[in-house]
Amino acid sequence: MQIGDLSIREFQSRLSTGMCLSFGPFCTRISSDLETFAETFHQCYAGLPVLCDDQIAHFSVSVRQRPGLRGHLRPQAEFLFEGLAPFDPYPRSHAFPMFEWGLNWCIANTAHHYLMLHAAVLEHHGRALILPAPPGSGKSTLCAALVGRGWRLFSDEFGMLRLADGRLHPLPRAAPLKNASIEVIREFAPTLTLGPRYERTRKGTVVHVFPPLASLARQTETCVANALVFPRYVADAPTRVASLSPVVGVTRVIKNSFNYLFTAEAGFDALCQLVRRADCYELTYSRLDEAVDRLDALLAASGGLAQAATGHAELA
Amino acid sequence: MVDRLRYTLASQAPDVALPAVIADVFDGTGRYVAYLQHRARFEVSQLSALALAADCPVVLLKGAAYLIEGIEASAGRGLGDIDILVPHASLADVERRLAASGWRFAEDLTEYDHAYYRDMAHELPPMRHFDRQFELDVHHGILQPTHRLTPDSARLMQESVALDTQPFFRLSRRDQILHSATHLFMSDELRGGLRDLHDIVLLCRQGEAEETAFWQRLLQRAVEQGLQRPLHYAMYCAQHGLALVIPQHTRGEFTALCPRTVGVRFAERLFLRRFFSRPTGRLASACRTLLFLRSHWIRMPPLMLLRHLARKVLSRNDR
Repeated sequence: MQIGDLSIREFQSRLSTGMCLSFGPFCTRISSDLETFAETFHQCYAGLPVLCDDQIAHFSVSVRQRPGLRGHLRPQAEFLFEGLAPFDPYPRSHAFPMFEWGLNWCIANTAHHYLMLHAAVLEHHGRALILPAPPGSGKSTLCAALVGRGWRLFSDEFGMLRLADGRLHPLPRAAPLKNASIEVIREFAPTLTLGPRYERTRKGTVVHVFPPLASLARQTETCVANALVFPRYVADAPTRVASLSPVVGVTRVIKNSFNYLFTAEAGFDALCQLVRRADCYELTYSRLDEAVDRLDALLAASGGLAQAATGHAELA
Repeated sequence: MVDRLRYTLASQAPDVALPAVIADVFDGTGRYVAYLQHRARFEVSQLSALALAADCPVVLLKGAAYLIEGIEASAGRGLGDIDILVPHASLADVERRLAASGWRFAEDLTEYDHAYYRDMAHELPPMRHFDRQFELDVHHGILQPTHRLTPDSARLMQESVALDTQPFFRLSRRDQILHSATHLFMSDELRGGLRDLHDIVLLCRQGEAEETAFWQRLLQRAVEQGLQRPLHYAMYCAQHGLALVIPQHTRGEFTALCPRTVGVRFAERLFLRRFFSRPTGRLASACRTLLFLRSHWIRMPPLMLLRHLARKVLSRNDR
């Protein structure tokens, strides 16, 4: 069963008592008493599998109205992880971005059986591309543009390289567009479903690209990467692709990883294996359409071991 | 505590097939704890030149001591900082050497703060390495000198044991137990939680295997140092919740450690609930509040606490 199989009323009632969902490889128990949050969630994650309630979960989280008198003046929502609030509450109307950020926090702080890269991962015609980048390099914008052109969204925030099998595991989630990139994507990829507009968040105005149903339906299909591209948005710059040596590739991926230090030799080995198979490039761009075309061509020509690159992962 | 659980399961029930989600969680925390231990080992080795040169023995406390000695209490135990104990008289020497090797106080301190941490506290404020950002706690006693309990830290230094692999000392086994119990129950509102209680269980098993008269010597030390109460709480909770077995012939003496007044019985219930029930609901938050109040009540006499707080408030207005 998927979330979309439940009516919004049913979903709200299940959510209020708590339900188990699978986000990529993670079983997440989530509960919430907030109606607008449930509505946005229901729309965004309609294709997400619902697991049975007695599942052992990787994370138990809850998004709820913060109790107390203040709630009558300026209602706030808080994110609870295993019953504790790891960070400050948000305005209640920002419950959805708070959840997205909160679940990322849970994953980044606990899932050290993966090497976690700060990267978008996309797949096209059975070939996969990793876009590692620090915040502000236009990673999410480029990712949304590619998804708008029919690429499969693997993940927007995390490149999840499982240490046990050396494969990339999908984690398709809502991809947050910030400020100017919102209108850029609305125009560039009108077929994408965008969520509500959240003004004045920590990162300015945020609108989420909802993950396409096709991407959610394939969220257990793992893959290996064929190309590793470090994108850099530079205003008015001509589109330029430069090839990088595997050594430079590895050192730059390390800079864009959440937990490289914690994964020790296993992480190092996984990265070496990664750049042996995948070609490394740097992409400088300002025009989205050109960047997308170049990535298309680049991926088609990259990484010889494309065949049999995908496989299935089973959740618990 | 998750990684301690992983270790305990793996050592006591190695054939149990774990559900995939549990195996994931164990794998993830296991790697993280291995990193923390690796880093702590490195930081201890960085301090070894200082320990050799200092004019006093430098005693590793808690996690760092278990780790460097390599005893079971270090298994599945992550540590974010290192605690060392030096004699009060050697503080200036040790501080000078620490400063020379890059350790700074994590926060700016006033003259009053400096005096407070030296005369009314049992440790300096946390120090941080300027480059690696690792944290170090320098203790010069066990509890605040103003605390109701006044164990003698000179005795601890006397009985401390040199470690084989590094130029540091550790507390004797019985002092490690008393130190851990004292911190858990008498100063930090159970901050170390279940993991620290389980440390105590492992340390007791270790001590029991090492010396025949272990339990009697533990009792004797608690009486010598006036630490009957924290030891009582630790033994009570460990027996009730973690299946610690005290040998039949000394059990009576442990039960008679301190008079079980209404207050003591109340505290026992409070601790058990805090350790072994899920922390939700109104009762749990009342429980937390009571523990918080208790920790302050036993730390300083009320007048002294007032003076200290007044001083802090006034000095804030000055800035």
